[in-house]
Amino acid sequence: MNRATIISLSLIAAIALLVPAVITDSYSMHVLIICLVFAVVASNWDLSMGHAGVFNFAHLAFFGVGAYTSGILAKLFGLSPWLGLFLGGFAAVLTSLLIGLPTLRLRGMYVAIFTFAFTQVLLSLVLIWSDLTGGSFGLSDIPPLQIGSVVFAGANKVAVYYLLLAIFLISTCAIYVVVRSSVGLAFVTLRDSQDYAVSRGISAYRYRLIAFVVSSFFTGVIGAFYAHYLEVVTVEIFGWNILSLALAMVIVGGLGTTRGPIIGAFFMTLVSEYLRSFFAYRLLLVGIILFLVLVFAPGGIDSLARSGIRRSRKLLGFFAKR
Amino acid sequence: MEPLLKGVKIWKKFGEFAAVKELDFEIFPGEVFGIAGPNGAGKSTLFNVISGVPYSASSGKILFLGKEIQRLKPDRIFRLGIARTFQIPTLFPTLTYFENTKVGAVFGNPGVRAQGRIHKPDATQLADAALRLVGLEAKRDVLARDSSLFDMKRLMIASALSAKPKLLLLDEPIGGLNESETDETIALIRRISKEGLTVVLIEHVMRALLTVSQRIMMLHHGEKIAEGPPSQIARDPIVVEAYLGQEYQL
Repeated sequence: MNRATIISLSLIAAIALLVPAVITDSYSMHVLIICLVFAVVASNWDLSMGHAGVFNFAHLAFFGVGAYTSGILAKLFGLSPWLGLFLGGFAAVLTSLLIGLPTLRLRGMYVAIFTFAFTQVLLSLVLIWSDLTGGSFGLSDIPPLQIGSVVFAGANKVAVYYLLLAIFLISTCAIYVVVRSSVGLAFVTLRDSQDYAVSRGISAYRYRLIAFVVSSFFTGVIGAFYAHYLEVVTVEIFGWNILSLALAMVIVGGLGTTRGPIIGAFFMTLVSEYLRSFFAYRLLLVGIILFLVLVFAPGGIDSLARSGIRRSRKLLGFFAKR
Repeated sequence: MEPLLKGVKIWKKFGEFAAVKELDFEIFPGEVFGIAGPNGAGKSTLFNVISGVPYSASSGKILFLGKEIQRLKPDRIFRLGIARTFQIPTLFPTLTYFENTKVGAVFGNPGVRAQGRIHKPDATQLADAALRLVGLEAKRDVLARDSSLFDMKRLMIASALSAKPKLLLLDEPIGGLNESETDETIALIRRISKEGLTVVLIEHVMRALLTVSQRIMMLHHGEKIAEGPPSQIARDPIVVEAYLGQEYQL
């Protein structure tokens, strides 16, 4: 890690820690919390789709499975929500294995179709098992996370924020460790050229499955966190609206960059909140943003930022010489 | 001498069409074995079925070091020691030259088990050595995305070599190159061969194929029509009629 990166990361960490001192109103803190939740979702989705090139449209299903698992276990069986966080992640891993084992021998759009279909199956199951899940009304009165008198829900947004920040940091570090390992190298080769990667000793099935499963764990954990934070989880979690918004976060931020989808999560959540008054047109506007990015900046915000920094450096060098 | 690679009655069919028909061949350790023939003769298809990328043989046996490999997965075949390049230059565009090369070293070397541990050779050293051998060490940290054709072809070879294979399958490493690049590639194949590696070479550039190979197999419509040393192949009347057009002066 070079000096510039260490300084940048330290600066970001300092800002992240000081945010609650600056942002004091509850609504803004809630939006920030949602930004961080989706930053975890988008960066993990990027691991399977952006880095490994798996057209995984079941990613929000992992989020939903984590949320419902932890919510049901805490509400109906009295299990500790803290244990529920891990069990949410574990349930997401099991789900990813259930989907991935038969699916990931397929390629390209077939994976997209199968994984999307599986998400719709889960949606139907949530509606069918309404005694357990609350059906279309959702699962409400989910117990929040709590340590002593500190409740991580409701008005106590600062506590929620710091806990979430810790989960976000652990998830992001885990992604970086994977991406920089030989496993991460295998992911990138499979995305770039699967046949060539296979000819170089990489088992496409094994590594695509690893990408799929690893990306599901923290998505399940954050789904569980989300359920305990809002104290309610609804079937919308498996719907097209959230899926398309999260997809936009990954693509607008920059596929295969980890940092990009995190930026994309903040950007799209803020844009989506800003566009809330447009009601039904909100998704249309999100679609237009996605279209514009795909056409004019396919590398996303991350790529735009990097080329901006490169140009600024050149310009500074030019003036320094003069 | 036992052959390193042996094909027994290999067929590759796509529906009713047979791209490779009942092909027998033997490749011996340390030799450069040339394969030639017109487009559609089944040369690249043969490489595909040997390496398992992207498909296996429809029937027949392929023996490598005496073991059948025709049903093995391609990643396993690579780890056994068969590395290939592709006719259409392929690489990992978002990785650097070094990373492209390192892929072969990381995933192609299963390592040796000793004292209960698996000892793997240093992938960085292997990748750097392979880049040096093909003359690309100066571009080590350059992204492969904008490579020239010559660089792409050498990079594929470097990536294959970094796995320390026992058999190297080169699919038209010279096609599309200019005169000086052709000479450099011929010299490179000779260097590789001198290091003791067995090479199978598909090539349309007859000057290269005839000067580098010790034996040549001619394919036509998926069948073997001739096999022998270059001097014999260059004068073989069936080869002349099917492929060369006129006798080739060596």
